[in-house]
Amino acid sequence: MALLEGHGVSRAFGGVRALDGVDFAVEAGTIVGLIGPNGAGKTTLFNIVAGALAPSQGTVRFDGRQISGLPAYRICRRGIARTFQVTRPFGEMTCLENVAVGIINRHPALGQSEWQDRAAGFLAEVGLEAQARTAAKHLNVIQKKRLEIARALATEPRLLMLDEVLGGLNTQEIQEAVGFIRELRDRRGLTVFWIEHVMGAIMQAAEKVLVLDQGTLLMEGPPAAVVSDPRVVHAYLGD
Amino acid sequence: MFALALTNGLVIGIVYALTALGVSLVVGIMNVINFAHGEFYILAGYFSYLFAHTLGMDPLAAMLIAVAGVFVLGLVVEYTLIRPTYGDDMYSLILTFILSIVLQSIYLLVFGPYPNKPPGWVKGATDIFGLFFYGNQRLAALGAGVAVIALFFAMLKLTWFGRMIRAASQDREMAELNGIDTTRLNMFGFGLGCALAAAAGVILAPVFPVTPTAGTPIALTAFVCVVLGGMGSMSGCVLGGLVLGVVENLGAAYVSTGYKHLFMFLILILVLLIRPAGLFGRREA
Repeated sequence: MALLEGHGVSRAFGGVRALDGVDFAVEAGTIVGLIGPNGAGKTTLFNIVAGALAPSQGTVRFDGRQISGLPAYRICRRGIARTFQVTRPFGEMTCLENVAVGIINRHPALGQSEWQDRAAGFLAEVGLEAQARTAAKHLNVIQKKRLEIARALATEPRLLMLDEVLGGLNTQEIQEAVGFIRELRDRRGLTVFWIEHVMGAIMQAAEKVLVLDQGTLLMEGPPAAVVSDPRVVHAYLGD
Repeated sequence: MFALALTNGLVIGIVYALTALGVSLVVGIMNVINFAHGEFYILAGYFSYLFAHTLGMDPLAAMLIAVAGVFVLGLVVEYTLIRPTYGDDMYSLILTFILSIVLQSIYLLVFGPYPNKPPGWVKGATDIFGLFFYGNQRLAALGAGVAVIALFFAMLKLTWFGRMIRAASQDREMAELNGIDTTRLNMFGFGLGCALAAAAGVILAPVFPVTPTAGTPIALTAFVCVVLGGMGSMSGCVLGGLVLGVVENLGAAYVSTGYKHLFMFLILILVLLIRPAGLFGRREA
C-alpha cells in the first residue's frame, strides 16, 4: 500500500478547476517527482495534502487513514512536512528558534539545553551550524531553503514535501542538493514528494514522476518514460 | 515641576504600555482588534475592589485572582464569540464593540456610576532626590508595571508558549504547517491579552478609580500606542506607551490639562508623517 494516496482529488477556485479528479500514489521510501507546466495545479495539490486547503471533492489518505479535511497542524503531527517555493522562515527569530518551532510538533516540552542540542543537530544536518544565532531574515536565499528543510525535518516527518527547492541554484549546487536529498531519504527512511522545474534533477533523483497538466494527471511512470512521452512534450511545448 | 510631570508620565506610560501589549499580542497572533480591551481593564479593577473590599481579601491576593478571573473570561470570550468569526476580521471587530457596550452597561447596573477604588498596597510618600514627595502607591504601581512587562518579555523569549506566539505572529499558516495548533494558541493568546489589560487595571485602579466607562479612553490610548510603536512590534508598543504617558503629562503641566488627549494625537500624527509604519514597524514587503 502506498504511504500517500489521493482519490479523485478536485479543487475549484470560483469557476476555475485547479485540480480535476486527480488520483495519485506516493509509495513509502521512494522519491516521487511532481512536474507540469505553470498553472498545472502542482502547488494546489501540495496545499491540499498539507492541509492548507481542503479539497472540493475527493480524499487524501496517509498511511491508510484519511487526512483531507484535517487542520494543517494535525496533518503535520501525522508526519507530513513541506517546504515552500518562496521560503518563509520566521524572520525575526534565530535559526535555532526557527527549528525549535518544528521541534514542538513531537516534543512540546523539552528543557532549554535539550531543545537547543536537538535544534543544533538539525541545523548541522543542513550545514547551517554557524548561523544558529543569526536571525533568519539575514540569511541568503540558499541558506533560507536549508533552514526550511531543517525546520521541516524537526517536525520528524515520514513524508517530506519539497516545493522547488532547486530554484536559483547553479549546476554544481543542484548536483549537491540532489545528492543531499537522496542521502537524507536513505538516512532517515523518508518518503519524498517533490515538485521541481529542474528536469535533470528530477530525472536523476526520482523513482517515479507524476505529470500534471491543467488540473488533471496527464501520466505517471519512471522518469525516462515520462520525458520521452509525446503527451508530456506536448504539454510543455505546445504544438 | 518637570521632574514631577516626568515621573507621572512614566507611571501612566508603563500602564499604557501594559494595556497596549495586550492589544498588540491579540492583533499579532489572530489579527483581531479587541474593542472590549478597556472593559477587561475595568473589570479587573472592579474584581480587585470586590475581592478586597467586600470579601475582605488581602489586596495582593485580590489582584491576582482578579487577573486570573479576567484571563478565564478572555478564554470564554474567544471560544464563544471570536472563534466563529475567523476568516472575517470585520465580524470580530463588531462583536467586540458590542461586547464593550454590553460590559459597560453591566458595570453600570451592578456597580453604579460611582468611581470604585480598591485599597492601596502601601501608604505614605517618598522624598525623590529632595525634589518632591511622591506617593508610594504610584511608585509601587510603576514597579509592578515594570515587573509584569519584564515577565511578559521573558515569557515571549524563553518559553515554548512564547516561541509559538512569535512564530504565529510572523506567519500563521507556516506555524500551523509546522504543527502548531493555532486555534488553541488563539484562545490562550486572547486570554493572555485580556490578562495584560487586567494587570494594568489592578495596578492603576488604586490610583485612578474605575467607573463603568473609564475603559474607553484607556483602550483608545492603547490602540494609539500600538500604532505609534508599529503594528506587530512588542518593544515598540512599550516605547509608544512611555512616550505617550510622558508627553501627555508634560503637556498637561506646561500647557493645560484640558489638552491632555490632544497631545497624544499630535504625537501620533507627527510620528506617522515621518515613519508611516510606526516607530519600530516593519514595512510590508
